[in-house]
Formats: sequence, structure tokens, C-alpha cells
Amino acid sequence: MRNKILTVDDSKTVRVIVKNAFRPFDCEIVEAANGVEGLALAGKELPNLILLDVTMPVMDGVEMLTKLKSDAQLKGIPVLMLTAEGGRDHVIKIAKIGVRDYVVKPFKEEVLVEKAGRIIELKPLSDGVVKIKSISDPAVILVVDDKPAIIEQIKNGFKHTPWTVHGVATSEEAMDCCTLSPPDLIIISLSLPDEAAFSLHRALRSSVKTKFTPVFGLVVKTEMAAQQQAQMVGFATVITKPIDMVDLEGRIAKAMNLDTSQRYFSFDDSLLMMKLPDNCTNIVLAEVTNYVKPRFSEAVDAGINKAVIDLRALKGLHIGIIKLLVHTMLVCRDLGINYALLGNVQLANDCRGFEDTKNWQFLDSLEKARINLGLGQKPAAAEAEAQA
Amino acid sequence: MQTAVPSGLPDPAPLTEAIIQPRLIRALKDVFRIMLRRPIEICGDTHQGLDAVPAAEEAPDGITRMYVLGRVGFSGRMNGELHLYLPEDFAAACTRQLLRASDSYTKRTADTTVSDAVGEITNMVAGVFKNALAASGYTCRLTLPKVLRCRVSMLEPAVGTSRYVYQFDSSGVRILVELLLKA
Repeated sequence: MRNKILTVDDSKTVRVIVKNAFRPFDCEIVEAANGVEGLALAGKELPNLILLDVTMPVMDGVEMLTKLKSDAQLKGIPVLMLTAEGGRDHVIKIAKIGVRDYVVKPFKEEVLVEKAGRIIELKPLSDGVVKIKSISDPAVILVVDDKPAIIEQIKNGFKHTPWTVHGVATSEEAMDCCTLSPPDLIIISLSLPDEAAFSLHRALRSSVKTKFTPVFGLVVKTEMAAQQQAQMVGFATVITKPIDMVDLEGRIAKAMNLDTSQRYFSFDDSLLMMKLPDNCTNIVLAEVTNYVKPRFSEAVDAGINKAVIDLRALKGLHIGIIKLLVHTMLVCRDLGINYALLGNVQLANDCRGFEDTKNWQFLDSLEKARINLGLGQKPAAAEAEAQA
Repeated sequence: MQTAVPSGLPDPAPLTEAIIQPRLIRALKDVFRIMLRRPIEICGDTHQGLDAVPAAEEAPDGITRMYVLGRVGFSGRMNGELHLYLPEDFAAACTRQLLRASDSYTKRTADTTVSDAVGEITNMVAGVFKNALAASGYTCRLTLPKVLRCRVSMLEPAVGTSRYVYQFDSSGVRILVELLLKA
């Protein structure tokens, strides 16, 4: 549910500053200009957090806080005091009445958001209707590793993507980067000195800006203890060195919840194409399996009832691929889609070895597949070949 | 905030220029850096006494320049008022900065928006200054800010009041801070 924050301040300026500070987050701001209005709104709106000024006309912040804490219905609402009074005695006094924290004016918006984020969960706001990011959208990946060669390898490995890779050597530099402009994903070497990877992970999780940013660990295969520790503390995944860039790309896409379907599916006005890559890892198979039903349904909705399943890049068959293809064929049958399989000699030979696949027929070109599906004229040569 | 002034504590040493000036500079710098993201430096000498107000600036058209004046009072072990004079156009620019608002917004909402923002800026300056003085024994409470528009030479302090006037410069704009302390 969307968080509601009540800001009580006699200064409209401060209320606008508060609104601006929380604008990037999914929360609603309600305003009151003094303690009386604040109490009334607190009872009506039951906010998740109250930001309370101290010096106000009509009823000041301390009086409102005292009344709030004596109201059974409202006393549980956490209060963050905004005060120009930074003295120790004053802070002790308001702490005794029951504030969760306080911010001394003048204050930076980031400090206010940070402190509020420790009390309520602040989720970054998506722009209007949630747009699913796709694999072709730009993204920023921050790599924290004191070995420049690793950063370089990741940069080079993602040159074909629209992603930008920034590399830094220390956790301090990483925090600076994240404060300035939070990346979409962070990869941290678990081998940084003094367990810096884990303290950085803690800092990232406690910062509102990076609380939900996926964080990957990076370590050599043999460092089992570090891998286990990373899994335990909540790293999204651990990548082992030497880095398999295809695997890393798949994991990043999954962690960032990117729509990767355009890698495997394409449409034209009469045909849906599904194409499997040569390296069908488990991640790839899982991705394609998830997309099959929605993409084929989308095709039917667009008036397309013919599909070509292109397997020519495959170097062989295994049970994972067979399961995916059987699933795809069932979806086609259920949706009334006619399909043709494109394959190669190796694949055709492999298929003969399995009960489920021994009857599968492959064509070797898209042109033949289109003709097979009734979408093109048979060329004379092909017709002659067919007759022969 | 109605902060109680501790009783039974020994009187602090008399307020002097040496105590006031660095704390006031700190207060201005903190508020300008954090809230307005503008540099500010003290310039010129401190003016003291009843005739301390420096000559009012002349606007290009020959009319004495208008300022937006923020006032916050102190009462407790230190009694008096802090006055912050911001030139009108500069006050509007600061308001836009604080609110992340457009030029047209401050023109549309003119007086009330700028007044509220200057009141809050003055309140923050007074708050930082007060907190710094509290550490030296000058505990006091602040009044709600008041804002008016005036020419610098308009206000005259009451007899028996110590008056300190400081000039500051923020990227070429002259800002005045006046401190009136009752004996």
C-alpha cells in the first residue's frame, strides 16, 4: 500500500521542500500548517509518518506531539521532528515525548529522505504507467573491483548491449557514485580488502536510493566461504570467475526484470518468428519458456496464426530444449497456430534418438517454411524438387 | 519552540563582537550552502552603534533599492532580534531555488511565496546562530519569523539596544544582517 506522509509546518516553503524531496518516491504527502490542523489530519488520514516542525503558531510541534502520544489511535504513528533547535537538551526533551528521529534545519533533502527511509519503506516511483524495461533500453552497471582487468572485461563483454559499465576500485568511490546517480545494478568483488564488499552491501541496503538495486557478488569459484556469506546477507546472486559473459548478461536481465523477448521473438504482418540461440543455457530456456504463451497469444490478438520456430543455430538437442519445444507446440495447438520448424542436419539426427521427437520434420530455409505455411508461392525449382 | 531557559545557571560572559561574528558567519554560510547552494562571504567592517546602517544602495533608476526583510526575535539569556535584508530580486531567486520553482511561479505568487521563503531562511539562520550561542551559555527561544519589505535605512532601533550590522556578499549581491541586542 502507498505510504502517506503528513508534513506539519507553518512555513509553506518547508512543506514544498518536503514535497519535492519525496517526489521521486511512491508516497502521498498531506499538509498541515499547525498542530491543530496536524492532529485533525493525523486522525483522518492515519499517515505512516509525520514530519513535524517545532515552532508553529496556534499549536506548536511539542504540544501536538504530546497530544498525539496520548491518543490511543494515533500514538503508534512514527514522528520525525524537523527543528531549528539542535541543542542537546532540546533533543533529549523531544526524544522523551517519543519521536523516532529528528532533522535539524537547515537540512539537505537527501538527509530527510534517508531518515524517513529508515522508518518507512520508500519505493522509488515509476513514471506513470509502469513501463517494462527491455533488453534494448540503456542501463548503468557499476562494477566495484580493485582489479582493472576485470572491469575492462565486463566493459568489453557488454559492448554489444546498450548498457554503460562504470568501474570503481573502492567502496567509498562506489558510495559516491550511488549518491550522485544510483546505477541500475551493482557488481561487487567479494575479494575487496577488509570485507569491504559486505560493508558496502550493508550501506547500499540502508540507503533509500539503492535499497532495491540488485547487487551481485563476484569471486573466484574456489572461494566458497565468501559465496555462502554473500548469499546469506542478501546479494542477488554470485558470479564466479572466470566470468561467463553470456550467463552474466542473462542474470543481469533477470535481476533487472528486463523484457528480453525481442531476442527470441519477432513479428511481421503474417508470421511470428521464434528463434533459439546456439547457446541454450538454462537461463535462456527459462526466459523463452516464460515468453512463449504471452508472445504467441499476442500474435493471435494481432491476427497472426502462423509461426516459424527457428532452431538452425542449435548445435544439438537436450532434454531442456525438448521440453521447451513440446511446451511451444502445445501452446500453438491450444491457440490454433500453424507452425513450421527450421533446423539443421545435426538436429534432425538428434531428434531421431528420442521418442517424443523422432517424428519432428525440419525445413532448412525460411522461404520453405513460409511456403509450407501457405504464405508464399512455390518457386519453380522448389516445386520441381518437391515433385521429384 | 518554547524552550525553557535553564534557571540557576551562572550568567555567561558578556556578549562581544568576538563571540557574535564567527557564529553569525557560520549560520549564514550553513544556510546558504545547504538550502540555497550559494556561496556567501562576509565583506567590509562590522558597523556598530545606532548610526550603524551603511548607506543604502542606489538602484540603477535612482530609487533606493527595496529589500525583503526577515525578522526573528530571541528571548531568554539573550534578548533581541536578528534582521536579514535580502534585495528583492535576490530574495525571489532564492525562493525559486528553495522551491525548485520557475520564474513565472514566483511572479504569479509574488509577495506571499517570497515572504514565506525569506521568513524560513531567516528562521534557519537565527536557529543555527542561537544553537551556537547556546553552547556558550546564551540559551534563549526564538519567535516566529516576520517579514516585511523596506529600504535599509527605514528601521531605527530603540535606545539602549546594541546594534551590529554585517555586510555579506553572495556572488556580487550585497546582503545585510543586523543584530539588535537589548542590554
